[in-house]
Amino acid sequence: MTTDSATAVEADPGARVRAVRHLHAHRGDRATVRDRAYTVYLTVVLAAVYVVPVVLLVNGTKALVPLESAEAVTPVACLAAAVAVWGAQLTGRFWGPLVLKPFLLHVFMGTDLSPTHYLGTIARRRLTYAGLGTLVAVCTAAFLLTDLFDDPRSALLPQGVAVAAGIGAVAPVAWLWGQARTVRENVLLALAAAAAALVLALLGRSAHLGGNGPWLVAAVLAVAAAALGRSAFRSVRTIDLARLARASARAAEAQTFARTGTLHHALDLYRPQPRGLASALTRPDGRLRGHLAQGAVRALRTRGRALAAAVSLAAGGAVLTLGVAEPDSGRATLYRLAGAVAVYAGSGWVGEAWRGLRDELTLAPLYGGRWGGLPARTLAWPVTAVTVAVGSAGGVTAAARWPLDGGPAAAALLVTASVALVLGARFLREMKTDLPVELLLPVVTPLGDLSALRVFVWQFDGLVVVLAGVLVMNGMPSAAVAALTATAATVWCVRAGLRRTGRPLRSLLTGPGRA
Amino acid sequence: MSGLPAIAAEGAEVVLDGTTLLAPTTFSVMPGEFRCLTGSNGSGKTTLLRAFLGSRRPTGGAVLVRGEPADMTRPRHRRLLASLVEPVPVARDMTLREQVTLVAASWYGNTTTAAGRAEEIVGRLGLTALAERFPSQLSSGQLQLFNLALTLVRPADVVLLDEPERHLDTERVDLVVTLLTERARQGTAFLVATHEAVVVKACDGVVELG
Repeated sequence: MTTDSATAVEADPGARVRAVRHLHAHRGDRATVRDRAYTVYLTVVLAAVYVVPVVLLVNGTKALVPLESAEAVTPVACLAAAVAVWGAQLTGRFWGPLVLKPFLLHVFMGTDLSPTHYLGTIARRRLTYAGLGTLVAVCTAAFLLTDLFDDPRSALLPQGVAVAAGIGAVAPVAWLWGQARTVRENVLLALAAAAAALVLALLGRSAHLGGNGPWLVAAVLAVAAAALGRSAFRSVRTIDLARLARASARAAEAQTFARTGTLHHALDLYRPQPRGLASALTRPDGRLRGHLAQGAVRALRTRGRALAAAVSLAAGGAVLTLGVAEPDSGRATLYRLAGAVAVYAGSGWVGEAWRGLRDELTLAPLYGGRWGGLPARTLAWPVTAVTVAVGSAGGVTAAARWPLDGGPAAAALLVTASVALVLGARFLREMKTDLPVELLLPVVTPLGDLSALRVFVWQFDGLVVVLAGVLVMNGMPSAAVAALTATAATVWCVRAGLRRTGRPLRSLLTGPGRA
Repeated sequence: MSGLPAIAAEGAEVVLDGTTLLAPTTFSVMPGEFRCLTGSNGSGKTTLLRAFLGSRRPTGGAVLVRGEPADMTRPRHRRLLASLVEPVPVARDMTLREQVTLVAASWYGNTTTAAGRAEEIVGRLGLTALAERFPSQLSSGQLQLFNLALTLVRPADVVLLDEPERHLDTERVDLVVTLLTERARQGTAFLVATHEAVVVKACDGVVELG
């Protein structure tokens, strides 16, 4: 049947979209009202058990970021808004509001319906939910980290809420923009957001605006949300459907992994595809380059990720050193935690070497014995890259802060120990394969079954080790004891990581083939 | 029937990083014509189908659908063209009948026409007895027939198929060929990449690549 002969019996676009949605909504395993109610019940219970105590505890302590005047609020609000826009854009590039169930999208893509007809409604609904979620998240963060909401009679309270509402309006449209617009347009928006934030922050700190800085920020955010939203919704009509189909297929697969407790497999799906330098691994005479050069070339095949790693490692090294160099500063712990987390993130983005190591330890032996063996082949690049980047950034920071409180030796020891701890945590995280069945066994305590908490911790074990390790190190009486603690934690991480692969410790040195 | 080809390749060529995926190719398929695309592995059959589909842009020459460059973003292009070239993302939680009806409903709305079209194509492909099953309960051959049903239930002026005989036994291949020939007689143009002699024998002409 041709399309000409179908015209007589064809329904109007609205009826076609409604028909598909209706049939899809009545499929076999759709969520029932009871399912949704149970999800809400679980969310409330988990929030009451785990979140409320944290909120109460934090509320009773001194604010981490004191905001006592409008001049202090404005720069923080600008920074928060800029970070929200950038984060939303980045999220949109990977998982945007237009992602649909692959089959449903395939059905719509096979028609002559304009994407606006079938994506517009769902985008508006998701953006509304995202806006409300962002508003709640920003208000919660402000409540936990600042003293903005401590006094209900403060004049800063309505200004803070207005800024939060502004961020809640602009972040969702930036999310849609991130997905629907090109990379170039996204870079332009990110730069514009940075420039606007800088100008507003400088204006807000000066005396020109009086106490109205946050109001101005909120107004700018509202205008930006309206303009961006209009523009982003217009681009839905011309969205790249092939790219959207790929994103939807990937999101569906990732959702399955995440729901079955293997979040790391879900994240693996979002690794960038390598491009370029196709013949750089070999020398002109055909021989392979050395381990370090191989690692560098492979990292440069995913340039965006390598750049993110370089920035993250350098920033992490600088902030970590800052925290170590000023142990008596009120923000030393925050700096050390933030620095260690940034180094942890960067250590995972430096390349595929960690996964190569996991594969070598868990799959059938492929490589023969060579000089340096398994560690040299797989760990040379990530360890060197992390060490050099953190060392360089730390060195520059230390030079700028010279002389260091507590002496350079103690600072160097603490930074080195922290980096070792981070690398150990990264190793532990990367050796993860499938969710161990024993983690599903109940953990009965007076607070109830904590097995869900254990599974949650397992998902983010590397990060948990970094945060807990740095906090414990921070509580130690001397740098030497802190370094010993970090070393012990690192050894534990390596042993635990190897246990996950089913290999003994000596296999790291002798190679899996002879273990 | 107008004199405008349903699809046409005019020196269409695809080169990626110095590797030729499709050598310059010229041919056209008229409305109601059933044309096969043959050639060895790597000769560019799927690449050419993707170019017509609009998911692969030719680096040289042009691919035209009803005289206009293939472009998936254009509603008219999506209206004219149906394809089974890329894997179809089926819904694991819907039965065969539900999924085929859903595709029909995307054209005819939630009407008896949609249900009738779906039932007809399911019957023609011998899937009636399996209509209440879920995709995971099908064999590879049955899944292939199901994918063909999803593709053929919608109206189209041009249908692109990449090895429709995949996983099918001789009897089912005959069933599919009969259906394609019948649809071609009703005015739909077919371009089918195939290695199957039965399909080649039934078509109106062959484009040999490579």
